Amino acid sequence: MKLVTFGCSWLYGDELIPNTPEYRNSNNIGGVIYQNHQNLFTNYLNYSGNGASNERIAMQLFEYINSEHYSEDDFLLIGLSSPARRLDYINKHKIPLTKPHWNKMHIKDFEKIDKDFVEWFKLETIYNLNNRNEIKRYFLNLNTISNIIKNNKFLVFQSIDNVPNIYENVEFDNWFEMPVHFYSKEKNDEYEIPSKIIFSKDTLKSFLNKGLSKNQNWINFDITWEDYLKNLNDDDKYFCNGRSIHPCENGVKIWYNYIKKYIEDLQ
Amino acid sequence: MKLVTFGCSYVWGDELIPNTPEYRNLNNIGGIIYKNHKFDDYINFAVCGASNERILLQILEYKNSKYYSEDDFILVGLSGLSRKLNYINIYNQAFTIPHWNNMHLTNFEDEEFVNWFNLDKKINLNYKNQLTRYGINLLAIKSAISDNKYIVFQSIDDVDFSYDSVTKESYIKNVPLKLSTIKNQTDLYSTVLFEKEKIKKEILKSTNKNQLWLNFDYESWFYFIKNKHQPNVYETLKKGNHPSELGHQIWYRDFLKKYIENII
Repeated sequence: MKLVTFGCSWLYGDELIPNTPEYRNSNNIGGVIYQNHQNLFTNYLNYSGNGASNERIAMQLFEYINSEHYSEDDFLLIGLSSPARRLDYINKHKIPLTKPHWNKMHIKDFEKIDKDFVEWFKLETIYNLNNRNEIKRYFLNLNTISNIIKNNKFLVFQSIDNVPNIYENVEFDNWFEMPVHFYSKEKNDEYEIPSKIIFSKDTLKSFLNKGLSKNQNWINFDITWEDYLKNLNDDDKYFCNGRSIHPCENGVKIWYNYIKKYIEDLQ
Repeated sequence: MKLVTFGCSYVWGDELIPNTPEYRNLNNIGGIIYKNHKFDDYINFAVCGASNERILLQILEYKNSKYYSEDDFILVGLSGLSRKLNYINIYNQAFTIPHWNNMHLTNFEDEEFVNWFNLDKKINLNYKNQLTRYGINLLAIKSAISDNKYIVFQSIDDVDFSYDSVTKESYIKNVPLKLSTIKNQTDLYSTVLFEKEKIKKEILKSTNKNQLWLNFDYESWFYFIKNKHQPNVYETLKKGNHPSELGHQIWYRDFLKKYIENII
């Protein structure tokens, strides 16, 4: 059985120094699990990458299951990314663009060469950035991930962002819901329902938890890795450079202790 | 066993006249299937302009309603690949972009909103985004209907054309991914979502003989009646857009019937 990991910078091991594949993958979460369970895993593969959205994590999984590395026997560890992140393929510049924080981080390169692009990015935030779109995207992406991994043993957690908070704060006041219509032959009449079911955390949970077997665990609605470390109130000890952005070696080890029981269950 | 249908205007029965619930649902595709087979009831969740994301919302409402039963037979007519559903701030409404033209913009005098809409088309409308959305929406729909008998087909658009065209887009890079081991790191460029056979394989995984995805191997309803009945195209497609009574009958008789008979 191999250990195969997927996720964003938190699973990649961003900011771990020295920034070499060997050091990073010996001290990131996958590396720590591998070192502690060498009797269990024959190899460790890490598909994570900095800035990944959940769509991009689905792509990491698609690449893995279509590769020579894939085996139904593998254990998959997935650290979900922020629901706000989104992947778009951009015409003209012909690149995929991940919006990591909806700020200007990725705009600087375009400011002088493409004013339309900068304007679109700004308007996207005004019209399109809300908890509703994030929850819809989260639902779609997690169902995709769920379909891909259902033949393997897995643990899925949330690396960053507070997902319950997004569901609790979905905008309901003064919103017009998407109408879903239906006709019943028996009653020979048409009806209209304002559709809100997708905004319930329980709807997604019921999809993800259906038909799970032993060693298939979704704990993404529990505490995130990021919040777990922040709650320890010692950023200098658990984050790289004390900046609360990426976990340092201590932040990795303490998260390993939190999820260890799921790995030990594999034995 | 009930017949429950989902989709866009094609499955709804748009342009069938008179436009009454009774006439429409007697002569649309679900109405024809209901007349020709033994179902306890016929429920139609389809609606004009639906995107595949909105079809997912239809299915979620059905699954959480008193009408849901694992015994039901489900028919899904997939919609256009370019359609997408956004929840829009300021106007506080759901907004479906159906044809990427100005059709839904006449109500908006907000120049900034119209500017966003036009820029989104200029910057963001391409086959890569459409096929990414298509793959993800279909996997979510598959999850939602996995306990039932079903047929899924494509109502409109040319799916093959989208998959063929995506490879011709001169992108510098596909999404770069990294594969690391303890010893080294390699770059990968992800293309799986743009490969029809790989997505089809994922969709067909763990389905049974009573769960049919016909959208990958057969042309859409629109092209079926347009190509097969070209001399009478305006008898089968009203104004060249939506199927007439004959267009609904042909889609049942010449295409869907054999699959339905096998399943039920």
